[in-house]
Amino acid sequence: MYSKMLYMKTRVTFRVAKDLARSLRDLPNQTAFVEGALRSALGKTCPTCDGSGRTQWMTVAVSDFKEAKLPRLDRDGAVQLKSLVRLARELAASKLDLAARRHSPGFEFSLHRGREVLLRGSLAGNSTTFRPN
Amino acid sequence: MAYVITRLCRDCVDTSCVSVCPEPECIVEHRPLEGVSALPNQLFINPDQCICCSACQPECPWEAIFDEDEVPAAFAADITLNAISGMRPEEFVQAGIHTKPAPSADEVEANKRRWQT
Repeated sequence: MYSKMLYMKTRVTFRVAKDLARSLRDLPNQTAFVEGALRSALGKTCPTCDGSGRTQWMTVAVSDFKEAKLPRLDRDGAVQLKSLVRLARELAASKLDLAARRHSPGFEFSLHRGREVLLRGSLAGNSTTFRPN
Repeated sequence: MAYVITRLCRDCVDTSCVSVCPEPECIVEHRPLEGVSALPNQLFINPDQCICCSACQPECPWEAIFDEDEVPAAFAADITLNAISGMRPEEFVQAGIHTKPAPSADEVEANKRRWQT
């Protein structure tokens, strides 16, 4: 079955070091192994630059208050959020998600870099609380 | 939908809004790379950066900031003017904070009458 599938693939030739070539020859199914290794490597993109090679640390996507249906931000909350955005930039975070707290005023937040959650916590009044992740 | 700084800010340019805005590149001034600014002397909100938190609105002593949905008809053109900062961000810089004396209620009303006619 696999040998039939080989005819559907494109041949690619590349040079490798001698020791690696010896190891590859010992493998029972070289094509499947190399293809799997390449797909795995290509699928691993840097969470900071998203595979672009350029970090966009200046841009932290903060939740839009209207879209997220968040309550208006008062002066104290704005000052807290401003500091949090500054921290997000220093941590090269890519996203700052905000959500309204259910039973008390203020916001819950989570700070992300790609898929990784860097920090969680809450903003309430004139204080910011961080929770261990 | 973002917030909009209307012409009520022109030549007043109070930066109280900048001091509370959580987004560093949201409230900006026009500083073209070459020549003098052809835009009015006021602050602008970059709609691509605005997170609609509304913190800036009550801070403006000239009452110049509106939700885009609530901009008075007389100032509707200012929505486009603010949008320029999103279309040509390279011409705009983060607004600095300059302390100014707060205007009196009479001055605020006089400024509104000046622009609403």
